[in-house]
This record gives sequence, C-alpha cells and structure tokens, in this order.
Amino acid sequence: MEKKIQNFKDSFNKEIVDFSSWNTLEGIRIRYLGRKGRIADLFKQLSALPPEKRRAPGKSLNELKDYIQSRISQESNRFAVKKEKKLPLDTSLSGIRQHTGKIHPLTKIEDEIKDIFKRMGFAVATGPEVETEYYNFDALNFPKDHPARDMQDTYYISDGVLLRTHTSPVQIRVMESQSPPVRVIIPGRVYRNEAISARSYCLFHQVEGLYVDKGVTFGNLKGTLEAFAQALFGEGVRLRFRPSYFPFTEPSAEVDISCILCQGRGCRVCKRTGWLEILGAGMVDPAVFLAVGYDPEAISGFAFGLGVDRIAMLKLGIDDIRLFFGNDLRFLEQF
Amino acid sequence: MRVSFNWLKQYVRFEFAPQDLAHRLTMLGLEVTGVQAVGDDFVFEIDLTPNRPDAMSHLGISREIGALTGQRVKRPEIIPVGMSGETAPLITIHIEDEEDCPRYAARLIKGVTIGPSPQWMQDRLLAVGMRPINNAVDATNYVMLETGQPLHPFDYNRIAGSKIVVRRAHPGEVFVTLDGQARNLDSETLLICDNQKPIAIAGVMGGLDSEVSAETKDVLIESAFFNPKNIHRTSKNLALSTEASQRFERGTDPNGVIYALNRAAELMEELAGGEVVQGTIDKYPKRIEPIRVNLRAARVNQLLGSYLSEGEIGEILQNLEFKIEKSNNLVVEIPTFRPDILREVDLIEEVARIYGYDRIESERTSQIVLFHKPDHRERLSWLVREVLTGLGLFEVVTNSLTDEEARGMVSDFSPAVTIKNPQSRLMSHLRTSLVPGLLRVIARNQHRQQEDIRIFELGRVFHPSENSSPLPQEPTHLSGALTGLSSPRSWVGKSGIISFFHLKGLLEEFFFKILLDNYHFFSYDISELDDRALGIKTDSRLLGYFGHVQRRVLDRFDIEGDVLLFNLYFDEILGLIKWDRVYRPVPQYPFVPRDLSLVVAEKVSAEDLTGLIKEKGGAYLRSVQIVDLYRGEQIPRNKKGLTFSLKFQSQDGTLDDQVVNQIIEDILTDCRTSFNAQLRE
Repeated sequence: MEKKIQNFKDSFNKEIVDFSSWNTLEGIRIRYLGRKGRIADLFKQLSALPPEKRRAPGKSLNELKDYIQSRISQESNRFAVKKEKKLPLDTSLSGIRQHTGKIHPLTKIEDEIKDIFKRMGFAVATGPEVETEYYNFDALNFPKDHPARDMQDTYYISDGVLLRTHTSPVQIRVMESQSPPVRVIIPGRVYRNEAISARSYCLFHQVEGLYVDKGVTFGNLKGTLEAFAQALFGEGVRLRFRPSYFPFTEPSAEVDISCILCQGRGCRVCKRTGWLEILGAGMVDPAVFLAVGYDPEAISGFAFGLGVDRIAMLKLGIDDIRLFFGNDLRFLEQF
Repeated sequence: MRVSFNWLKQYVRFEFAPQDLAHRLTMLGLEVTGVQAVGDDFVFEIDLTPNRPDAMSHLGISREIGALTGQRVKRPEIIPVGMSGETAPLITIHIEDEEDCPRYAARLIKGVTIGPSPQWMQDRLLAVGMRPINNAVDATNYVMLETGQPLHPFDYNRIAGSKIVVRRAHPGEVFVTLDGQARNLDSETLLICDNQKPIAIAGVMGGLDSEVSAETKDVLIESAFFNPKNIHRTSKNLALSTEASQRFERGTDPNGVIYALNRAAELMEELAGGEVVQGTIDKYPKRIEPIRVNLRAARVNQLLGSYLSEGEIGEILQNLEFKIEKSNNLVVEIPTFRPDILREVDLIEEVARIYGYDRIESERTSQIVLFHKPDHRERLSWLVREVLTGLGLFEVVTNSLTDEEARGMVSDFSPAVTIKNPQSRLMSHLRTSLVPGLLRVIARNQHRQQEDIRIFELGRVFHPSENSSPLPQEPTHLSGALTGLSSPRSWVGKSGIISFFHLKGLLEEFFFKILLDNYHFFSYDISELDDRALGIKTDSRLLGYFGHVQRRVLDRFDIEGDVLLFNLYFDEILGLIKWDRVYRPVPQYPFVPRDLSLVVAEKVSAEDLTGLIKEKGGAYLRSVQIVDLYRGEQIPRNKKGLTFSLKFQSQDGTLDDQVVNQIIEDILTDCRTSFNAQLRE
C-alpha cells in the first residue's frame, strides 16, 4: 500500500514538471484527484483493509492528497500569472454595447410640458380624436355659417363627425363629467386638412389646459403661462399677451415668448420681430359654461392650447416638421 | 388686409412712427404681420381675426387708433354735388327675401365718362393691393376700403326694366360672374336681378353683362346689407372669396349703408363727371337698432384681476364710439358696426384690449386642486416607453392617416374609418393597425443604409363603432418591428441575425418589467406572420401576438431581410396590471439545484413539458429553466434532448435531499406517462 502511494507520488512529480496548457493541468487534477481518480481508488482499496491496518497508510494517503492539491494549486496560480503576462489587455478597445433605443423627441417635449403643469396641480385628461361637430365646434361657441369655422380646415368623416381640429372638445367632455373646480391638461393628436409642407403637417400634437374655479382671473392666466414658459424655456424668457379671437374664450389672447434664439433682438426664426407665437389662451366664454351646465356667474376659468410640435421645433432647432414623422434613425438617435 | 399709413392719417391724428404704430395695432389685436415702404407711404399687412368686420377699413383702423389716443375719427364730410332730376321714377327695387337682405339702397349717376382714375387714386389702390379698373369701379372700391361697406356699380342701361329684384336663385340656375366663369347656383344663393335675369350674386360678385364698361354712360351704385350667414354659405359653396364677401360674411354695418353710398356717388362724380341724380332709393323695411348691454365694473375687475374704476371703463368704451348711459351699472349702447359685441363679457374684452393686456398684473400664485385620481394610463404609457427603449427599441411617431393598400397589406381586414374630404388618396383612411406605418419606417431606413432597425410605436388605431355611437372605437396599440443583428457588432465576436427567440425573450422581459405575469403563449394564425407566430393571452384576454413577417408582405413594402413583429393591445394590458404589489419574503435557506435531462419526441412542446414539471414540482419548486437543447448522435432520430435546471427551496428550512429526490421521481414518472420522456444518461 505504502509503495503504491510512493509510486503515485513519483509519477505525479514527473507529470507536474512540465505541462503545456491549462487543459493538461486540469487533466492531471482529474487523473489524481477526480471522483474516479487514483487517490479515490486508493481510498477505496484502503477501506477494504481491516480497520487495524488502515491507520498508517491512511495517514500517508491523506498527506499525498494534500501534497497533490497544494502542488496543483501552486502550478495553476503560476500558470494564471504567466497567462496574464502573455495576453496584455488593451483597455482602449471599445466597450461591449447593447442595442439602446430612445424616446421620440415629440414625446419627450410633450412629457416635459406635461410635467411642468403636473407640478402646478393639473391632472391629465384625454378624449377621442374622431369627434362630433357638437364637441369640436357647437359646444365651443363656434357660430354656424361663420368664418370662425373656416379658421381650421377640417377633415370630415361623415355628417356631423370629424377629426378634431383641436383638443378643446375634451374641455367640454371633462366639464360635462364633473363639477368645478376643474384643473386639467389635455394632450393629444389633432388634425388639419392642409397640404403637407416643411411648416405644416396633416396632424400635430396639442396640449390644452383648463382651470375653472371661483374667482379665476385673467391675471391668473398670465401668471400660469409665464411660470410655464420660464420653466420650459428658462427664467429669462418674457411673455407678451395680445388680444385675439377664439370663439370659446373671451377675452382671448395670442401669447408670444421673447425669441429664444436671439433673445428678442430679431432674427430669421422670429422674422425680425423678436417674438415667437407659441400659444393661444383666454378666459372661458360664458357660452361654453352654459353648454356644460355651469353657472358663469358663480365661477370663471381660463383655457389655453399650445402646439407640441412647434415648441419641439423651437427648442430643438428643427426647421422641417416632417422630420418628426419620417422617423429616420439618424434623426431619432440625437435626442 | 392691407392698410396705408398715410391714408389712416386722413381720419385720425397720431404721432406714432410706422413701426411703433404696427406694434400698437398688434397689441390691440390687429396683428400687423409686415410693414412695407411704398414711395413716401408705408403699407401694413394686417392679419384680422374673423370677429372684427368693423376693422376691415381705414376708418375702422383709425377708430382703434383714436381709442388709444383718446380722440374721435374725422369722417370725410359729404358735400352734395350737382344733383338733378329724381331717382325714384328711374329705378324700382323689390326685395323678395328680406331675411337675407334687410337693406338695399341705390343711387344713380348720369352722364359719366368712363376712363382711368387719376394717378393718386391708382397709387392708393395699388399700395393696398387692389388693381385699378376704371374711375367708376375705383370710386366704389376706394369707399369700401375707406368705410368697410362694399358697393357695386352697375351699368344702368343694362338693367332690364329699370328694376332691381333681390331673390333666391332657382335650383340649377347658372350665372356668369364678371370673372367670366359660369357658376351653378343652389336655392340658397341670393341674387340681384333685373326684370329678366340675374345681374349679380349678392355680396359676392357682379355679372359680366351688367359690368361697367368704357361705353357705360349711367351708373347705378348698390349699397346694401346682407345676412352674413347667407353670404358666407354662398362664398364657401362657390369657393369664391372676394373683398366684398369677406366683409359681408363677417357683418357690415346696416346703418352705414347710406353714408358709404353718398360718399361713393360724390367721389364718382368727381372722378368720372356726370351728375348725381337727386334722391336715394333705400329699401330698409325693418330698421336694425343698436342693442344695449349692462356692464358691471365689479365684474370687469373680477374677471380680469384688474382695478379699474367705472369712470375709466366708461371712457375706454366711449373712445370706441360706444354710448354710455349710467344707471345702477353702466348701460352701453353698442353701435351697429360692432356685431361681435352682444354680451357683458364682450365689453369686458374691449376694456381689456384698449386698457392693454400687458397692464393687467400677473398672479404668481394660484389655488390648486389637491386630489386627482391616479392616472394608470399615463403611468403605463411612460413605463412602456422606458422599458422598450431600455430593451433597445426606438420610439417612432407615424401618421394616423393612411391608404387602403397599406391597410390591405396586413391582416387587419376590419373596415376602416374613411375621410370624406382627404388631401390625397394616400391619406384617406384612418389606420386600423400600427403595423403598416412601422414597416414603412423600416423600409425608409433601409433605403438610407440603416441595417439594425428596432422600433416601436404607442398609438391609437380606429375601428368603426359596433354600436349606435357615431364615433369609432379608438383602442391604443403597442407595436414594434425589429430587423438586423441581435446585438451591435463588436470586436468580441460576430453577433447573429435577430431571431424569433430574441423577440420572445424581449417580450418576456417587457412583461417582467411591467409586472405582468400569468400570461401564456399559444400558436397563433395571422396572415402577415409566418406559421411560427405565437399569440399571448391570459385566461380571458388576448394581449397580442408576434412572429416573423411573411416574405410576401415584406416584398410589398420593399424590405430586405427578416423582420420580427409584435402587436400588443395596450388597453388589455392596462386592465391586467396589478399596481399594488405585496411583498413575498426573500428566501432565507439555500436552494437545492437539480438538472434534469429528458429525451422526448420532437413534437412534444417544451412549454407543455415545463408546465408539467411546474405542476408536479409543487410549492418547493422555485424555478425551472431550459438550459440545453440537444439533437444528434447520442439520441434517436426525431427526438430531442432538453435539459431543465430546477431549483427547490423552502421558506421554512433547508430542504432535505430525500424530499427533493422524491419530487424528482414524481416528476419523472409523470413525464414518462404523459410525454413518453426518457431520462438521458
């Protein structure tokens, strides 16, 4: 038994002296220390001996096992060091990347806008893109057979059914479904029956806002929109409210911001005026309140609507609206 | 509309430089979009809102300037010139339709000499964009630009029977307007006729026959007030918009008819000679009186957030030529040239406009509504975008207007909502699926040398209503398409073309991230995908499907290579998500791993086998993963070897080997009986 043990030690020492690869070392390990290896075999033989004869060879065998284990681990460490030295790591190689996508710039800007208003306590409401003439025009105080209806070129589906030209019909739907106070923004797609060009597309994205409560004033409207514009475009931006006309607000205003490109000095983008028109707004017309069963003497409110696409174009310096809908990856990956 | 700076100075005094005036008009709601120097004059381009017919003239704009500077406009005084004879016997007027023509007046000038207008007149008309015609026509156009009242000159001798009849057109009646076009009229069109035939479409355009020409000797000038709705309808139906119709359809001043008529007669006589015949024919059966509106100063300040006194408010309105009577509140008489002012709130806007929007102070704080229901749709929309972009997909936004062919290329044969008045055939239908839009984006990007294209869209599609609602259904879909390599090329090694299992795994990751479980896959038959397609459903609902797009579909979109596609029903998913999760204790004891290699017939599905293992694995089985698929020499033909890696774990203690061994035995027994599975040695 002892002799066998010594033989294995000798043969191991011979084998461990030179090995050419990791595999060879692993082969040696398996041959000696593996589950069916030589050491295990010896232990099996050992267990066949009567107990009183096991002691001495048992000790030698355990010593051999420890010896082989420590030699192998020595060699394997040495080998690992050698291997590292052989293959230096060029850390300037590019990292291993995964495919990554990005959110569309229109969604990003829309979310930025929504976020600002959410912080001001506005909830988000939505409504159908295919609307009835009642919600899109009648309830919003657009007179029948009046040029006001021509302000928005409309796609019709059938008699009295159309693609909404603004998100304002959702104002009516929201007010019909709840009593004041109301404080919502309404994002969504709207459609205009216009030829497609760099400046206009057959659809665009609007965010509408509505606040109805006791004692809401035009001063509140101004303050809200100023805070919004400063949050979106920076605190240096100035606002200009000028009278305008929307059938569903009275008084109505067109709202300009000081040009964000030239800081109001006048440039190509603001057509030398120093101002950029970004939204329409006003105090909710009493006729709209009557249409939804609110008492215009008891409450008042303001509404506003802005074009996400236009704001995104201004903020991102884009001069062709069609880029948003073309979805060229070389465009999308920039945002 | 174009306005001349020098012309305005004729009616009101102001010291503003042209640019300054432009700014002030803009801030009054009369948006000046351009100022152009013409000779010694400046021409303003004004973009008028449709509620302001009163501002469609130089006198109207002057009135606005006057309100700013606190002065009244000076209207030109009319000096009666060379009148002779008597009009009444020379022309009779009969209004058949008094609702659409509340007032019709006319004057006659005899013995004119038609010729070109003097240079000053031609210059003025040209400056504001109107072509000089001849002295008679120019005189009426000039007065229209001055007062806002459109006028029409007829060649008196071509009016048969010396009679004017205002009536509706007969159905099918055809009339040649002075632009030489034959117009088909409907029964709502209002016509100006003589004894025999129409001579003008009321408020829109005159006729070729009765036009003033070089031979004209006597001119009849028409000045009328027509129902704005009627003129708007006619102008729209005929797609014919003129200087006259633009004014009439917005609402002219019924009580400004005579002033403009006399002014034109005077001017025509001055330019074309002849003599104005004494007397005016004026058919005005029901006089339109100015209305009165109550105005509360408190209400003004309440709505605007301003601090104006009753005196200040009254002064602003008086400067706009409103008449103020004082009782408890202000009672305001609205001049008939302001048909847009009907209510208290309309007056409040006038006050705000003249006072200046910029002078109303901004409130920097606000009351807010504190409670809003949680908005799961918003939340999931955002989550979906974050997760899918994280998984390597770009969000796209495509047109919801599409064409019938694109729709037909994918399987969604449900009828579409169609547009009655499309811009083009290519945008005549509302999309019923997001898929054609995505395939177009792939094709377009491939044509621009992009190879790895991974995109998704979250958007609405449209299906005609199935109930009595006039509105279609607008479900939200979440669809994606992928082509190219499964991971970006790198120095590590070649990556392969994206496969079915990449997409399946991607969707599994997606559901994992949005906390949706309890779904399963099943074989799904849909024509745009090949026969490997799978559906995704829960017990009750179909959540979507995915697979390889059929080659013939890709060919129609001109797409190269394979495309993997998924289409998910967002609303269904939204309804299933449990936002409130309850924590499950994290295991404290080690798990016991077991690998199980089974050989089964090819037709046995891995999912069925996994299902059985899960079922038999009981409460201790924590996870099952397929870690190897083998086909080859070591096992019989038409069989496959599947290696499952199982982990067993208990919440209560370390599991005993024997317990696990027993479970494995039970699993094996069942796999043998149900699937004829053999343990692989």
